Amino acid sequence: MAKILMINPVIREESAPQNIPYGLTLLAGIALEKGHQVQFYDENAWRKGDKVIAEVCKADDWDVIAIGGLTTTYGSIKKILRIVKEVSPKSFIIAGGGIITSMPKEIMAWLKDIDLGIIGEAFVTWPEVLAKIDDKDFDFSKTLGVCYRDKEGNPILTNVRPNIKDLDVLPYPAWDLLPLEIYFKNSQNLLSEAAFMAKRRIDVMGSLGCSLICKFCWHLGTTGDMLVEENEAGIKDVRFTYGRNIRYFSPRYIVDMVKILVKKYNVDHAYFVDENFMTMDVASGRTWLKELSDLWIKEGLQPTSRRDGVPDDQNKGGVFWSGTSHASLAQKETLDKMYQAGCSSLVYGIESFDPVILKNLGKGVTQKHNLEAPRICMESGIIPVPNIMIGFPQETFFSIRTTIECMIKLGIHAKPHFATPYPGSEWYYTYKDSILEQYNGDLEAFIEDLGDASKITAVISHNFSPAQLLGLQMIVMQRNLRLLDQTEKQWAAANALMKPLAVPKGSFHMVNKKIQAPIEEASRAL
Amino acid sequence: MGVDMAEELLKGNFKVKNPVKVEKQAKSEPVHEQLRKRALASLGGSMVYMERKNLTWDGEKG
Repeated sequence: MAKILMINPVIREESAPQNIPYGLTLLAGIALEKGHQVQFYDENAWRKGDKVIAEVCKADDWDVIAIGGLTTTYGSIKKILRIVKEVSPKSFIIAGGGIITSMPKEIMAWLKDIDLGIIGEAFVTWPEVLAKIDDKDFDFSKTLGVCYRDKEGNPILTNVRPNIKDLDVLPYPAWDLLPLEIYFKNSQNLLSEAAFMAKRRIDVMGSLGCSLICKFCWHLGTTGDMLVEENEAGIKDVRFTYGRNIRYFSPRYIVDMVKILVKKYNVDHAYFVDENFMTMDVASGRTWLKELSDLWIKEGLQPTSRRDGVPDDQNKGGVFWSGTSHASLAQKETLDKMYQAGCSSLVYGIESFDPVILKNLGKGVTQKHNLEAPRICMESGIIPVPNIMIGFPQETFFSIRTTIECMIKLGIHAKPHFATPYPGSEWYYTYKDSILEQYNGDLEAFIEDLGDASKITAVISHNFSPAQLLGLQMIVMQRNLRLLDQTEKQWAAANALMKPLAVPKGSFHMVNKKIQAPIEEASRAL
Repeated sequence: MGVDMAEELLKGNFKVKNPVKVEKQAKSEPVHEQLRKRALASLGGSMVYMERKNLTWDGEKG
């Protein structure tokens, strides 16, 4: 069997390691189940640098070195692959995840050391690729869901790999391969009192994807949204659609997983990295979250503070949890159940309170939803975390004012994110020409610049410049309507003369229709 | 740092040929680097930071 080295790149270099690599450890779990020889190096946790990465690459004769992550790991992956190729030139290099799925042709062109890209969902493709490598068969032209190189080194995409039908067939992530104590040191966060007290927090996943079509978001094939089709030049490339294959793990799968995490690692907080709990709950006919909450309590995971009806700072045991919600889909009855079971906070992507912006966002919410949802959530006992964003294409002084007024009304303090066109999102394809213009034609520089949207990269606002947006961010953070009024007065005349940085355009890569990508017809073991 | 700690850098289901050895100084970042990161993340008001190295100006010549 092939010897496989999996490397987790650095995510958010500016902050301490706290994002546990879920996808990569899940794939490690699959490889282990198939009997492969697997080693895992977590550079995100260790942060040991180039010299140690080189030592890791020399630790054995690796048949395969696999790496992957979100687009924001591009810089780290680029650096690691340079070392990998120098130290272990014979290894077959595989890359996967959002970084390559969103733009396979570009990534394979920039990172020439990648031998094979796994595009979209890897649960079936990854073991299939490893089996072929075991057989010394490196012809991937018939393998679904990959980007291989032809004899000249050109990247060639194969057809899309169908999503698996049943997520419960997946093994649990191979957490044993991670230096979890490093992550546990950074367990505490400020999203709720319970999270503030967390000592052994771990990331878990209850579902994949989301039913909504927010223009800033991306799913990259994990939710039936990706096609591979020929472009105008007759070359196959990825296209993203409004198609949605909604899938969630059963409450039994999730609760059993958390029980194992308690038994093995004594975790006290489970952070669900799901895109949106509530769309899954709707898809289940409003049963999923209630069943999950009931089972959480029945299996003894409920925090004692919730059981005894005392403040959380008097908690003596059990597992708190947190996740993501949605302003128009959350229901009081469900939130009450979730609170009882130990849910401590829910992120609400409020984004804006302006009706025009919300209408154009594809999120399915109105200003009324955004005003009511945080209050209803707070009344249940769960702390809402209402995310705010500025710099939308339609952003105006009026929309900023509306958002500040609503923030004051609801008691929200936020330093807003900047609207960012991440690869794979509708915004990215709509504004790709504008992005290129802002980066002097250097798309790779834009990708390397991407972070967590707390800084400006490419502007997609039709009305505001980077300097204006930076100022507006501070004004929103201070909720200072006086400064906003003065700024608007000063800029009114200048705005009429300004040429927008961002101009929308259609793109081959974005199909604004509900075209469903394939999903397997029946559940089957991997 | 001993080999035991170094071996934990790589985790898997078999013993590798060359266990990874890490020099002691690689264990954690130097204090000035730790300070730099924390300071840059806290900039604001009187919290300012000046680079210890990488200055673009090296003084008037001559």
